[in-house]
Amino acid sequence: MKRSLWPTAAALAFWSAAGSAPAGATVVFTGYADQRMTAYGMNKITGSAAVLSAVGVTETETKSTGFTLDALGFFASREINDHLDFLIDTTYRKVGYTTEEIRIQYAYLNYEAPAGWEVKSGKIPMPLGYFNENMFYPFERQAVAAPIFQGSILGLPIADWGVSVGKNVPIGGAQLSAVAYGVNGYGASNTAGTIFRPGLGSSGALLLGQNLKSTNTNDHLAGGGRLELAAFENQQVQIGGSWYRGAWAKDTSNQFAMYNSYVRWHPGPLDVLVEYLITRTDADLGVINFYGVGDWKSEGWFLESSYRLVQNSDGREMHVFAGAENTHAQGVGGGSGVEMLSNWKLGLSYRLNENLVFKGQLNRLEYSLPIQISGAADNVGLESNGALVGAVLTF
Amino acid sequence: MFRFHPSKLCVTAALITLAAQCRAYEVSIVVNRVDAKTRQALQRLEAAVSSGHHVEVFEMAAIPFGNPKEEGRRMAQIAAADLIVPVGGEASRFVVETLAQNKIFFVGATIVNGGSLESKRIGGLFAYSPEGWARAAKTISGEPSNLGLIYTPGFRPLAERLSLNSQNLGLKVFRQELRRKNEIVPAAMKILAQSSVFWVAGDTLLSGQLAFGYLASQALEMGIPVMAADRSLLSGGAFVVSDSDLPELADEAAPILSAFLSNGINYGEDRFFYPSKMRLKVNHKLASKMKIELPKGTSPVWIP
Repeated sequence: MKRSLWPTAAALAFWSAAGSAPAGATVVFTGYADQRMTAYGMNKITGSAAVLSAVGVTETETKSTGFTLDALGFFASREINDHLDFLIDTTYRKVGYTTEEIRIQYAYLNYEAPAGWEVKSGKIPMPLGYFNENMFYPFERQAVAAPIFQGSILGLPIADWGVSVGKNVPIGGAQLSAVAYGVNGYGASNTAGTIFRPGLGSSGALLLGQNLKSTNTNDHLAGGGRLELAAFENQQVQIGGSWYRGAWAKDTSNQFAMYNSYVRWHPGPLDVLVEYLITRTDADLGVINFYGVGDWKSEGWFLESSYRLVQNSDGREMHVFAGAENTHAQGVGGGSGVEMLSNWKLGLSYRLNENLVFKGQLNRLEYSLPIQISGAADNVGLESNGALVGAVLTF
Repeated sequence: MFRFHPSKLCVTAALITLAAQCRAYEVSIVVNRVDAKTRQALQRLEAAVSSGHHVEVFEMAAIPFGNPKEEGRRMAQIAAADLIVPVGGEASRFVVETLAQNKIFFVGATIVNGGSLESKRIGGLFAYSPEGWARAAKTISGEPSNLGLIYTPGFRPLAERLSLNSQNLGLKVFRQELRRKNEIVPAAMKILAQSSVFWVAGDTLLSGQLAFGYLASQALEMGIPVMAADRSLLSGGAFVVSDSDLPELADEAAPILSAFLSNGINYGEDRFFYPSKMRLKVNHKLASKMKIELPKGTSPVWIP
């Protein structure tokens, strides 16, 4: 018997029209450009003849001046429904004749569940510290450049593939936030899986940012969490602690861990953030030439502060800012030599309107890296003085 | 085998249309800032819109402009709606400029991007009416009664209706439609030479600070009063500007918006609506300088 299908088709048409997604759902694109000029840069390498020869340095003092586009970033935001949106940040860096780096800095589904729960899935910014998620972008902070250890060596923004689950709990006038996450984690920097922090002469020497890859190195997920208490009117004080731990090599007993604590105080025109960070790495062959052993740790802090000098009703603002950081790293359970990084900065930022900020910054960097020569550590040092000018455009 | 019968297709199509009209729409209402007047306007609009539809109100002042990461998220929330209803001049200008790919019904638009008005997805109730402008022009113009208009294609329907109304009141009308910035100067020269009163369309191209400043200064040099779209242009040299009351506009917009939602948020031939009553603000200092006599009751608000 022939069955007429048109009632079914009509019903399907009715329900699909009645239940379809909003016709106006749109992807919204915004973006920013961080243009910088090194008005003055002086780098001086110091060290004994033996250590300079070991690292292959001949010229000890260089000067630099020039323009660069530190980052050109595009954000895409799409609200799928009242509780679910999809967010992407694509950033272009090292833009010359070609663009040497295109990064998907984050790309995740964000689900805001009832009762203050929030779930993120995809390439998520890791909830480590405060700066990583709230001050990484140049339009979120007053300074031209981010703290060097977190920004350059660890590699901001720290984001990885995984899932995070968080909840905000109001407690009287305060708010407690807790988040836990599972991600692929930092992996090795070489294909053999034996080097975590690349040595001098390797691609990405000394840096860890490229250890966050598109797939998991081993059969263990890395994980961590953050607890934060935000208190007083308009959340003037925020105190938090966060951690990360995961196996970085195929041998899952070789762990990389980070422990962070922070305080942010933001009364009116003053804004002060202090973060303290400890890292610990097991069996890293990449640092043998620095510390003499493969187990190593770093310990350090940074301070970012600003004070709003002027605020006009037309949106113009001027801030003075200052920052400092100090981190040292060394071998654990033997070895010799201490790696030291100290940086200071001072500057002014001027917001012309909601889309354009000009910044000027003076900074001084003192960096010292131990090199193992005949079983003893000899340090090669870098002193750097600079004057940076920046313009941040948002659109 | 599934065979299509015309009668069954018609019924299916009718069912789809009925479904579209019955469905609950997501509506984003956008205001610049929630104050007393806006609150009144919102109450009237929400009452008309909220039955059967989901309404969310967004305040532009709460959008973190300057932080594109968060701004994008907030804008995506607004843009996720089936229909965006900006209320007031600033909100209308902002939404038409930045979310022109969405369906928009503005309430109380004064200055908007004329290029976006050409889109069949955008329409709404202006803060001013061609009839009101025509009556104001007749009062101000003196002799000869020549009204000069410059406008862009998006404002053509308004300009055409204004021309017709003005001609019915005995004014001679000289019009110039233009598309690009570099056409402003020659258009202004041509039209001002023939006008005794000058109307500038509320297009961002013409009513932006630089362009309007030029037009107003040229007109004032020739002793020609300028009628402009928004009260922000009063300090830029406008003689008379639109200064409508938001709750009143919301009252007029509410039934139109309600019918629009019942109609499946589809614009017909007429996308633009005008209030039955228009309020104007006059620069009285300029009036006495230019020796233009205005009827009694034009201060503080003139309803032509």
